[in-house]
Amino acid sequence: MTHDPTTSACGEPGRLAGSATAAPQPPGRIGGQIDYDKFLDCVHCGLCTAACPTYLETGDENNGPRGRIYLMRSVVDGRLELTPRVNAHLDLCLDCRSCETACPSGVEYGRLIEPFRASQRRAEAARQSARNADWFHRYILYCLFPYAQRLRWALAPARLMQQLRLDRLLETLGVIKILPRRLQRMQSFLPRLLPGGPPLPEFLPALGPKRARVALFTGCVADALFRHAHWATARVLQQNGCDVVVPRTQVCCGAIHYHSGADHPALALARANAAAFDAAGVDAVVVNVAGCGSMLKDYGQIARELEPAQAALLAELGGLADKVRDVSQFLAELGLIAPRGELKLRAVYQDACHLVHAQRVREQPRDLLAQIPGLELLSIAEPEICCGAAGSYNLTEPEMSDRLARRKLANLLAADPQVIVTGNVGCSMQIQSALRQARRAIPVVHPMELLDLSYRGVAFSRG
Amino acid sequence: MTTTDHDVSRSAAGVGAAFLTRLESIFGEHGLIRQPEELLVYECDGYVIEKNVPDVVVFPESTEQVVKVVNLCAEFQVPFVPRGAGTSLAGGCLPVGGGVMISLTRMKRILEVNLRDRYAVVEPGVVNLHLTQHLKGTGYHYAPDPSSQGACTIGGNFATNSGGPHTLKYGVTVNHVLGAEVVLPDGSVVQLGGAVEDTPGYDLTGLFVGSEGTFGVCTRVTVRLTRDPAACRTLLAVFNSVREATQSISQIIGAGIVPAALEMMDQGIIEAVEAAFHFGFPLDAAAVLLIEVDGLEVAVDDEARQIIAICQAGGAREVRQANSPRERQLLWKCRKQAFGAIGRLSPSYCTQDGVVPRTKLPEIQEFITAVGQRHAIRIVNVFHAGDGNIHPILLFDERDSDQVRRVLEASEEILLKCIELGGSVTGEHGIGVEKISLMHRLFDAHDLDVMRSVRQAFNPGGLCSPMKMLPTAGACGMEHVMQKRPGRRAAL
Amino acid sequence: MPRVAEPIDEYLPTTPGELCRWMAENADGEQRPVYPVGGRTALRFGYPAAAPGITLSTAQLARVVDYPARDMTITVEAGIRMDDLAAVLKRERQRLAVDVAQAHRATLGGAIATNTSGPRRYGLGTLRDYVIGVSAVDALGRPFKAGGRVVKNVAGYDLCKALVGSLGTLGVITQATLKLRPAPEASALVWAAFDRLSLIDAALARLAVSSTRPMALELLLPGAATAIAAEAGLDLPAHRPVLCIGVEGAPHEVQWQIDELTSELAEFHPHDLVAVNALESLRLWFALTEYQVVSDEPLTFQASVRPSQAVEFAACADQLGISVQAHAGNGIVLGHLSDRATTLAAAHSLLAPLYDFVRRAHGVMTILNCPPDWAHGLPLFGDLSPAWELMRRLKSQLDPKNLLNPERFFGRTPRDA
Ligand SMILES: Cc1cc2nc3c(=O)[nH]c(=O)nc-3n(C[C@H](O)[C@H](O)[C@H](O)COP(=O)(O)OP(=O)(O)OC[C@H]3O[C@@H](n4cnc5c(N)ncnc54)[C@H](O)[C@@H]3O)c2cc1C
Ligand code: SF4
Ligand code: SF4
Repeated sequence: MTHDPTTSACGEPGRLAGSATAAPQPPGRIGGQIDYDKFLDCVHCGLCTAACPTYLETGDENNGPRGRIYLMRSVVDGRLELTPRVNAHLDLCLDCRSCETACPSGVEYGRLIEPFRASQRRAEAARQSARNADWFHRYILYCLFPYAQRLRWALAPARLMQQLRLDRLLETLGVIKILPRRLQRMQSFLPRLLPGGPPLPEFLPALGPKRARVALFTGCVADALFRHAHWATARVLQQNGCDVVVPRTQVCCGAIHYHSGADHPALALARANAAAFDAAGVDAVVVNVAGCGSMLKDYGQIARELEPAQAALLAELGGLADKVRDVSQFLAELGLIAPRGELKLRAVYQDACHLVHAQRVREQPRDLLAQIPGLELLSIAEPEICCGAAGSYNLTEPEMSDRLARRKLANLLAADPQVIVTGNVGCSMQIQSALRQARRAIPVVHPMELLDLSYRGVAFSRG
Repeated sequence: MTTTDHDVSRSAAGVGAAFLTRLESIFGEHGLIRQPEELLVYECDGYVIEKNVPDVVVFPESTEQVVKVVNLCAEFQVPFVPRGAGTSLAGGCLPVGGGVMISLTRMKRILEVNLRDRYAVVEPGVVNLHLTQHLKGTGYHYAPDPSSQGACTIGGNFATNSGGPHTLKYGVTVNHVLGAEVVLPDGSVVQLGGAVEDTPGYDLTGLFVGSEGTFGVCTRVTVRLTRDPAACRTLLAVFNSVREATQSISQIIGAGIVPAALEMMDQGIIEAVEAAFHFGFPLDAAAVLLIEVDGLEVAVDDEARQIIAICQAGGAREVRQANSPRERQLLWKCRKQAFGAIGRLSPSYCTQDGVVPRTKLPEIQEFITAVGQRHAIRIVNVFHAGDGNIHPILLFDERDSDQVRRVLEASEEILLKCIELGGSVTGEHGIGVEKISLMHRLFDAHDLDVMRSVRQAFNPGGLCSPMKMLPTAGACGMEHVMQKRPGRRAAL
Repeated sequence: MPRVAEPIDEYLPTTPGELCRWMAENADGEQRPVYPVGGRTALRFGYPAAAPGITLSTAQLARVVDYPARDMTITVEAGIRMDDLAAVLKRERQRLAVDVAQAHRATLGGAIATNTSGPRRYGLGTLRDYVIGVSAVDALGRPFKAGGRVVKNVAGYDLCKALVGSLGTLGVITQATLKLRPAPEASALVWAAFDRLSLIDAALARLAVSSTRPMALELLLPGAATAIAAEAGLDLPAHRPVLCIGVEGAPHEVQWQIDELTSELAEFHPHDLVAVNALESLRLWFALTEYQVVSDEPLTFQASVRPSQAVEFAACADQLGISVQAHAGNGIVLGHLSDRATTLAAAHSLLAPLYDFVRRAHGVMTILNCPPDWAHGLPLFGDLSPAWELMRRLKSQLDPKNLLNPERFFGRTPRDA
């Protein structure tokens, strides 16, 4: 075979691939409801690539943001079929939105991949009958996760096993191996479950002069696994002169539903939350879990995307979204009353993607922690790279998730911290699991837990 | 100039099955891409006007693998093109004629850092910023800092001789490369230069830098590390007229001060940047200069004072100094991400990259304004002013074909004016496929002949990056296919 | 082609155009070897000419073509003497920041062709960092240019790099555009003598993280130190190894650095430490530059090792009775063999341990100057790496008839090969 580059370069004038003028497709097809201008915002400069964890790991443009946008757009343009390979590249996306932080053109990648995925799931659901749908997604993610009570109940045996050290025994006996693969994995991700304490009361009064009235969002998974962090958050808010309301009628944020294409349940949850928090009459809705916070902040966008015609819905959900603050963001805006208790600790703060990228909350938690007397904040390499938790990603893309966990762990350990601080449940679980595998006993806590200890003058203990 | 859309078509034959089988035995299933739906994203880089899908993409992880693929290409006479991060704005990674794309993204180890001897050895796929981050805290850094440094690779920088804001004082990539290991198109591995200085013979390292992938594949680079400056001062000078700003630039340089960086943004850019970053730029200012001086603590304040005085005498209505590292960072972020922010002004834009002698900045600036008016095209400007490197950005709406035509004409007029003023048509983005047609304007037939001879020494069969940088003498004239549409928002 | 033994003629073109025509005629006609010369200060670098030919002198191509001082660039013809160039630049308080020895004779073209440098290369780099454009004439008489007159330019291949250090084998450089620097207001040298070389080694490691930013880090062993002090007409302590550190800048910046260096060096117990200032410093800079090329010795070499190996290499050479000056910050060691090495064989055995050293250290050793009849008995350019094959290809591409300095780089090769 010969191949003459000089002659093969001229020749037939062909299609201009990916022409920007390709007509957007009707909403019926996959990705069709995406605002096509959002694709056009991408100028194909590639500045986002090295910010993308999956690109860093694979070096393949198909696994980077620019490539994924190109793929999605080509599908929407009808230029490319959504083959299993294309799917695999899109599935490998963590939706960590690191690319958004890196992009100078302000491309809203999350507003491309999320609706694209949702419409993929819808299409799948339409194809598959309920019976042979993926049982794992259906039952674990769908029926269990969103409901804090059910989840606590489901986790009770695990807690008991951990307390009795039976989990170790089962692990040794290999019994765990006979559980379905993904359940095994879930089991391996459970952190050491702490007795979370009683549910939060509906109202906790401000201590000292009152500065604000806020509502606390407690969520589903978080309330089941991290109630102690909720308590800490509430106490820190009280210390800062906030009346804290915990509306009983609040529900799961709906992120899992939305991401799996169940628009209507997602909207229903969103509306329930809007009603619950509206009734509370607060200055801000404070969230201490990054993932939930970014979903709540996106309510307005999602309403626009799913029900573009309903102005009232938009106002209702957008109104809530505007009030949502991550707790560190809120405290930074309010001005933290400096805690006094000394915590002599070398700490690393690990950015949760849904805080740093999705909500652009980066300096605030660091600034708050820096005010704790005695606490030394260490910096790590690649702080902006996802740990691989990414919601249910650690269950659905175990291999990449593990690679990223190892990468993150290596960077964390290089700083030699005594405590790791992070503001998201998923990250916390992922890092704890990686630490257990590496047989390193470094506690992972929420920033509010450390502030709480400092306010209370309680020393940090590894328990 | 035609307005029809062309594709840089691939060879009808593509690559054969025997070739692919051999390639697969080298790279395995995970080291190679050959499915059309996965090749699609490799059809262009940061330059989106010309596209062509490669026949196959390989991801070597070692020099040996690069040698193998290059040898195979030689055996089967298949063209190949190296690719780093694909941020080229000149179509440097366009696989003209199809063939193999050699992606260096998996060769990204930092192999050695030697501070005492001021060098580091890296693989080509190391991202520029990652090297800098790796060196953080050592007191040393890698000086070339292209605006794309968060993504572009050292191999790509090496191949394009990248510059950046701080190259005014510290020089461009070639001034910081000591040596390289390269795989030539005949499959031989040659070490050029190295960790010791003054290796005898021709400076092939210097010649290879900036050869835009047409000499072979770089598989290892030895770079010079630079001491961090002991101190720096970052100033922002605000002017009511662009002329005053550009004149102040030549005053500063003329006064014998070499700032670490000297950048200019005009009103249009200020507006966009302010919308994006809320720095507090005065929206009614005609131009701002971002000036940084660095050096010894005992010296920087004096220099800063001198610059402030020059700017004030030159008509600056205000000169501010960044008061904290965070403020400095934000200022630089505004500058480095200025291009991205342009998306907020217009649906499409096209960035040019010309150079003039620094004293000609006022002249070229006025010319640009006139060209914009004549063609009824809005042009905003951000300059690496200290180097005379201009980046006029032409705003347009690509759906309007007449605007597109006017943008192309205006761009060409500006670049030709740069030549006329004694400058060049590219200060950092390279020729690639984008500016091949302008090479004739800059160089005469002899110059180009000599350059062809030089390429012949490295790349005699022409399989490596065909149809790049030099117009083909007498061949089918790729250059006529160029320059049809400026592309949607072709970024900086 | 017949090789005629004829006397070496000299040709002095007065314009580049004339030079082109002449070169073309030669290439089409007689095809005599052409030996370009500038100030004739470095003609013994490389292999000697094997066949008679024509010496081509650029002496009459010495105009300043364009000096837009405010652009900090200058375009000049290649035959300009370095001193004359410096004088032109000085009027605008600018300079070409490269030290060139014998500047009253050396021409810019010659400096470029030999890639000359000096002490300041530590802080300011070498000619490859300053030549931003060149015009040249190739062996066939075709004028060509590369680069341009602007400081930043990536259009086309950077042939400036190919010509810097090309020893006149690729083309006759007729014109160059240089990037300039402001001349510093003040400069000084800190001259410190130490009891032992190991202390200097430690001091150099310390200086790699100094709070000052030296322009030069020179290591002088006693023989060189004595000669340099004498040349500068300064009474400096020179019977111990010396570290000589150059600083430049505004006067208070220079003074601050002197103070700082004095205290940074204290922990290495310098035996004597003198700050050489003002006019005296100019004489010392000059002496440091000139000593590199002292020519009354039989053989001069330049070794390139990593900076951290420079002291060890210098010690090794010193033990062999070789007088040594090192641009220690760059790992460049210059050695002058003493008169004891009167024969090639003696030189061989003297250099053997040094060749071993550079081999172990992955460095190189180049002979800058030796009697012509020794040249083919010594590896003038060290062990030839695979890159030399590529260099040969480049040479034959640009000079297919092998007319320009045919032997300089590659030694005796059959001319019709
Ligand atoms: C927003 C933006 C801002 C930019 N700002 C600057 C700037 O300030 N200064 C500047 O100089 N440039 C700038 N660029 C241009 C571009 O980023 C640089 O040219 C960069 O060096 C390209 O690096 P890369 O890794 O992306 O290389 P690629 O784009 O992948 O390749 C560029 C060229 O190098 C060749 N190449 C790549 N790797 C190798 C290798 N290992 N061996 C041989 N050849 C190779 C390719 O074939 C191609 O011709 C900018 C680009 C963008 C999109
Ligand atoms: S998403 Fe942003 S950064 Fe990435 S290629 Fe598109 S425009 Fe560039
Ligand atoms: S969201 Fe994260 S994983 Fe997905 S493309 Fe962006 S950076 Fe990559």
